[in-house]
Formats: sequence, structure tokens, C-alpha cells
Amino acid sequence: MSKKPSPTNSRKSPVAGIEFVSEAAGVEEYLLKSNGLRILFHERRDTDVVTTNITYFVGARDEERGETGLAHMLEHMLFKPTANDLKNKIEDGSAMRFERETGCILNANTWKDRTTYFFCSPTEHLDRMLALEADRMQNVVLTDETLKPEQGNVLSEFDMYGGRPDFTLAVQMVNSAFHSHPYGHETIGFREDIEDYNAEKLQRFYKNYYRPDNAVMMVVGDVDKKLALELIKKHFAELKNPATPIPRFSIREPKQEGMRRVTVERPSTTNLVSIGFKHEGFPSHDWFVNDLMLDTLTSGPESILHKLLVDTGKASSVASSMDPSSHSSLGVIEISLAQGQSHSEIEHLTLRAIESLTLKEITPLLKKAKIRNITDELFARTSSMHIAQELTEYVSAGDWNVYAKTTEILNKVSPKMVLDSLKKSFNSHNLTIGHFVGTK
Amino acid sequence: MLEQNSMKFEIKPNSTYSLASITEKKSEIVSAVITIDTHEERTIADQAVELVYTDALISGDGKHTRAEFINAVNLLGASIDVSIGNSHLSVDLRSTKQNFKKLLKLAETMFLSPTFTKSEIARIKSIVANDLHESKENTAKTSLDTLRNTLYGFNDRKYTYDVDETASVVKTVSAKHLKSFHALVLSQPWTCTIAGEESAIKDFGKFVDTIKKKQSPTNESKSLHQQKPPKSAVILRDVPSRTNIDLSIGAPIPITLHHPDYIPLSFAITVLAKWGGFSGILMSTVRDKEGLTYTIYGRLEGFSGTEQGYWRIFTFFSPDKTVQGITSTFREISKFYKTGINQEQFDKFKTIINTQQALVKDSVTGLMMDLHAYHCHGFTIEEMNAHKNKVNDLTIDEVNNAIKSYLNPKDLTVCGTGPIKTVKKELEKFIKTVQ
Repeated sequence: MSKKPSPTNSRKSPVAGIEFVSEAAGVEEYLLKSNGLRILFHERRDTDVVTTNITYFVGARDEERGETGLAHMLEHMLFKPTANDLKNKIEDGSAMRFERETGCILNANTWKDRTTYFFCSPTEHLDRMLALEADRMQNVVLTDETLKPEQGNVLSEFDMYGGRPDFTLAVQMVNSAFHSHPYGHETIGFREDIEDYNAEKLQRFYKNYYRPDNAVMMVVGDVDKKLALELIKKHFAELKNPATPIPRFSIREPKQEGMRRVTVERPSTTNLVSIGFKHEGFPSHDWFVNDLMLDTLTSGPESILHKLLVDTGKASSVASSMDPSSHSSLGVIEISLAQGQSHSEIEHLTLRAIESLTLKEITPLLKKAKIRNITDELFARTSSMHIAQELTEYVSAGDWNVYAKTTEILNKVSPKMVLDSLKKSFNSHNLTIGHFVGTK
Repeated sequence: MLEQNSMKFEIKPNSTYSLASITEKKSEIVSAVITIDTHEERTIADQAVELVYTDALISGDGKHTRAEFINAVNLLGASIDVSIGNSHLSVDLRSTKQNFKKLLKLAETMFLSPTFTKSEIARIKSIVANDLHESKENTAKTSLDTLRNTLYGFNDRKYTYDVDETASVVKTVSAKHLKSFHALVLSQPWTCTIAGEESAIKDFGKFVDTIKKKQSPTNESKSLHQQKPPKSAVILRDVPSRTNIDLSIGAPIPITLHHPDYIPLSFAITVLAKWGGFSGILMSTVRDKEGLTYTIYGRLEGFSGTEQGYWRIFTFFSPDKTVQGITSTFREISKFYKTGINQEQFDKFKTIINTQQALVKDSVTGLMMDLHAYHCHGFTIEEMNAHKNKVNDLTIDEVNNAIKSYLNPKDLTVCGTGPIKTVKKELEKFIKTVQ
């Protein structure tokens, strides 16, 4: 759960009713006192462009069995008309109408801990963008009639992922890795659950989680701070929180005892070995150590597994991923096998290579991984959309202030930390192995 | 030269290269890109050499082995990425401003003394063979390649040879082939674009100059272009492991980028199927109202100052919705072709296109890529701005005339890849109704 801010009042807010909370790396946090809406503001001059981004602390982890993917389905429905739109005969909904009239960029995405909506537009539209976000926080009309075509689109989206061997295998692997924690299902949910959604389920979820005290409103771009805060106050200050508390699961994942395995067979020419390991939550220090560890293993032609498997023709690719999720989640090394290679041999070869790594091998790779990551951060922070996107992960996982400390954290990671992390991560009691077997 | 929002935009042509730049007063980072047109005949052997060359170029030079070279680049936290598409070779360079000069030094030896050793070529060939095998299940790419192969002849840059045939030719690629291709890369004109501080731009200019002054200028281009006439057809490929059928639907457009109909036509396609977002007619109907697909976009592709392009709709449907989806798509295209656009759509999309152009300013990398795209087509800064502004001078009649001249649904070829067995017959039956 995201860390609640505690106002310091060490600096005054330019707008009454909005309290200054903190500042780091040019990002300022404020609090709308009337309802607890958090605000992040970052100014970037000379672009004439602004990005707004509202993040709700609700995602796949808040879904129950039989209702997987509901947070994502609701994300789609927030582009449908609100009660005000219907009154004003805006049948396609104000958000869509805004895009269709102005050409701004609008979209949304859902992840394990959060649902995020953003607009990127010339600065002149800021007032309208904030009005839209405020209106759809609580006023979208959710009916079975409006749900039906959007359900078809989400099923199409599911099939888009579902046709991919890596996604199919990942679904099975997280399900095996997490027996109790809701991270055990993918954000889009199971197809069967998507088919069974109805308006009532969406309304309940909407009411529970879409409220000012469960959201952060970000404004990043070429806009005056006072104006941005005044507009946020104008549109959001009157919104009320329900009297009921925000429902949260309090689940601790049972201890894993031994390696877990899954196999998926499908007529395909693709063959995959995926090595999953549970990693620490974001943005903890250990998360960054894990991230650099994965870099040394799989990132670029110098990495251990690229040299071992791709350069030798045993695999066509090696990739890895790790979620910026607040709780422990499943990181994955994915190996796409060359023709004629055996899943078990590649798995054995990979695990043996990881087990035998030494400080001597890790040290030069880590040095370069750190420099590369720090440079990547510089590049990522050159557009309002990317800045807002990155802040979203920090704020939804728990602490956006770490955004300002990334370079410092990365610089402090030592080869010994990475070696310890390898031992902890690739221990049989922490592993879930997946094989995708193409039967064509 | 143009000054805009504290940045300076400039293009300096030269006899063997052209350098465009965006000067920022304070910037921690530098991005640069070099594009070289290597297209001549595009035989299957040319395609095989292209596939090996991109890795071979960064796999060792007169001063470094591959390992030493990669190590040196990574120690800078920088990157040199080499890619090729439509026979345009692109080399992307990026680093912090402090390390850019060192990166250029590495790039210089890479270009001037690549070694193309036997062992590296053998390694790359095995990687390419694996990549080609993996690409067989890339259904979106297969549909696109199938469409382009229907619209263009063997020698056109847009033609892609069969995966298995290419894989067997890749085995024959040697150092001699790579050296000959590299000589072409060096002798062809370079289009170079950079964004960063003034000192980085100066260093980049010197770097390009050093390389290009050592080369003899190229002879006149032997590039072959072979657009075919339109053909109403359905071409399907079965990939049963996938759950959706990926579709590329398109037709040739017999004009080049500088033809007076290009801007009105581009405008028309944006109204029909704007790439990205939700405002195109097809997204509003096939997706929003009917719930048949997650994505349906379209655009003009493959145009240049001398080569004719095509229009393409990209989408996907699950097998049980494919016939309905294609029927809806054709219904909307037919309606669009018959009635054209109305004044309200015309006004809205003028705003939409202007906003798209304004949003590029959000990131300097975006600005650089935008400038580079125009630069590759030979535009000056003034011509680029004039080209962008043409949208404001358009008339609704010009747009509707372009629709009538080029967007007849009877010209469309439908290429689909995925689990097609259950829909094959019905789709073939459907296309006959369009013809």
C-alpha cells in the first residue's frame, strides 16, 4: 500500500486548502485537505505540453477469485459516458470526445497495484483534462449495455496476449508461484472470468476504490504551479470519500518448499524455458540489487546468459523481466530455444552457470550495468509522459521519494550484494520453472 | 535555421552527407542517428547480407575484438545500435554529453576498420538462423510481408523473401560479401541527425566528415522500384498456435511523397483509421460500437520522393469474429469511399493533426526523430515546416477527391495469418462480394 504523506508545512502552498508535503528532484507533493487527494507536480518549461496522470491504488491484487481482471475491465469502462455526459448528450463520453476533438494523447493502464489514466496535450487544455478526471472518478454510468462491446474488446486484448507462448507460460507460472497471494494471476485476468463480468461487479469495485483518498493526481509539464493547483482544487475539492474504508486483502503467501514446475504444450514452433524467482517489492534497495543482478545475467551481448546461450547458437534470445510491484512478485528469465535444443539441458546449463558465478565475473559486469542504468534514467526523464509514467510506479509501490535517489541507490550496489542476491533468488525454494513445449 | 523554444534547428547539406541538428543550451544527453540507403537490386543474397551485417559491423575492428568493443561502449554507459529496414541502414548513437566524444571515437574505428572475422560471421549466422526460425510465428509481420510482396516486385526494397530460402542463403554469406556491402554503406550519402549541446554537434560533424572524406562519392543510384497494380484478393497463412488472426489489408498508391495528392490522402487515412488513439472511424465503429477488436489502425507507408507507397489497415480478430470484423471494416471503408468526409470531420482532424505535431515537442528525442524523418526525405527545415503547414491550407474537396481517386475498397488485398482454417472459405466467399 502506498505510504500516506505527512505534511511538513516547511514550505507554504500557493493555494489555500492545498498543503505542501515534500519536494525531491524537482517534484513537489501536495495534499488537497478537503478529501485527502494527493498531488504531485513537476514543472518542465519550454515545451507547451502538459501531462496529467491520475493513479488509483487498485489493481490485480485487489481482485477476488472469479473476478480476476476486474480492475483492468473497469479501466476500459472509465472511457464510457458519465451521468453528466448523458445529461449533456455526449454519447461517446467526454474523455473520448476530448481526444476526438483535440487530438491529445489519452490512455490508461492497469497493473498489480494500480490503475492509471493519463492525458498528454498542449497546455491550453489543462483545465478540461482535470475536469474530465474529476468527473469520471465517481460518475461513470456502468450498465450491462455499455459493458458488452467493451467486454468484446477486452477479450480481443486477452487473445492478443493469449496467442503468445511467453504470456501463456507466464500465466501458469505466476499461478504456481503464488498459491494464496493475488499476484498469482495476470492483470488481464482469466478469459473465463472476463466472460462472466457484469455491471454489478464493476459498480461495486468502482465504488470501493475510486475515491479521492485512494488516488494521486500528477501534473507534469509546461504549466505554472499555482495555476495547476488552483485547477485541481476547482475540480476535485468537492469530491467526497465514501464512509466505508477501502477494502484490502491482508494475505501472506505460504512458504515455498521446493522448486515448482509447469509445462504448457501447444502446436507451435516456439520452445521456451522460463526461470522464475520471487523478488523483493519495489522500490526497496533489494529490488534494485535484483534488477542489476538480472542485467548482469541477461542484458546485452556481454551478459552471462547471452554469451552462454545466444552466442553459442543454443538459444535465439534471452530476456528477463521484473515487476515494480509493492509486494514480492515473480521475476523471470526467459530463454527461447534454438531448434533441436532440449528444455531440460538448457535449464540445467543455465542454472549451473548462475550457481557457479563468482565475484570476479560479476564485478566488471555490474560496473557497466550501473553506468548503463544511470544513463537510461537520464534519457527516461526527458519527456513529461515518461516522467509521469516513472513516478507512477514509485508512488503506487509505496514511495515516490525514491525516484530522487535512484542514482545513489544504484551506485551503492556492490558485487557482493549481487552475488548474495543470486544465491537467494536462484535457490530451489524460491524458483518456479516453466517449459513451453511447441508440439509442431 | 529555426529557433524555437530555446532550441535551434538546422540542416547543413554537404556533397556526401547531410547533417541536421537540434541545439539545446543545456542537455545532459546526446542522441544521434545516421541513415544510409543501401538499396540496389535487393536479391535474396542482398537480404541475407543485410541480416548478417548489422551484427557484424559491431563485432570487431582494427583496434578491438568484439568483446573489447562492447566492453568499451558499455563502460561509457552508451549505446551503438545498428538496424536495417527497407534497405535503410540506421546507426543510433546515444550517451551522456561527457562521454559522447569517446563514443564517436569508437564509432569511427567501427566504420573505418571493421574486421568481419570468420569466427564472428559463423556466430552471427547461427543467431540469424535462429531469429528467422522464430519469426515464422510472428503473425503480424508475416501478414505485412505477404501484403508488401503482393504489391511489389522482387527487386523492390519492400519485398521480403521466404524465411526458409533466406535461411539457406544466409549460410553462404562471407567476409567478401560483408566488405562489399560495407563499401556501399560508406560510399552512399549519409543522412545524419543529432540533438544535444553545441559542442556535441560540432564533434559529431567532425566525426562524419572524417569518415566521409575518406570515401569516393557514390555513382548514381541503381535502386530498383517495382510497384504492381492493385489486386483484390484474400491471402491466408495458417499459424495454428496463435489465438488471433493478424491482418494487413492494403492497396498500392501510384504517387510519391511530393505529389499534390499526398497530403490530402494522408489526411483522409487519418480520418478513417488514425494510427494510435481512438479517433479514427474504424476505431469508433469496429472497436468501440461493435466490440470486435482491440486495435484497428491504418496509414500510408513506404512513400519517398521517388518511390510509390501503399495504404494499409492493420488489425486482428479472433477466428469466431474474423468474418464479422472484416465485413464491418469493408462496410466502413466502402461508406467512406462513397460519401467522403464531412465538414465537421474535416475541421476536427485539422485540429487533431496540428495537436499531434505540437506534442512532438514534449521530448527532444521525439523532436529529433521527427526532424530525421523529414531529413531522410531530403527536406530542408523550411520545407519541413511548409509541409507540416500544408494541412492548414487543405480544402475538403481535395481530401474527398483523394478518397475517390485512391481508396476504392475493390483494390484491397487482405492478408491474414493465424488460426485461419475455420474462416478460410467464408473469407474467400466474402472477398468475391467486394470484387
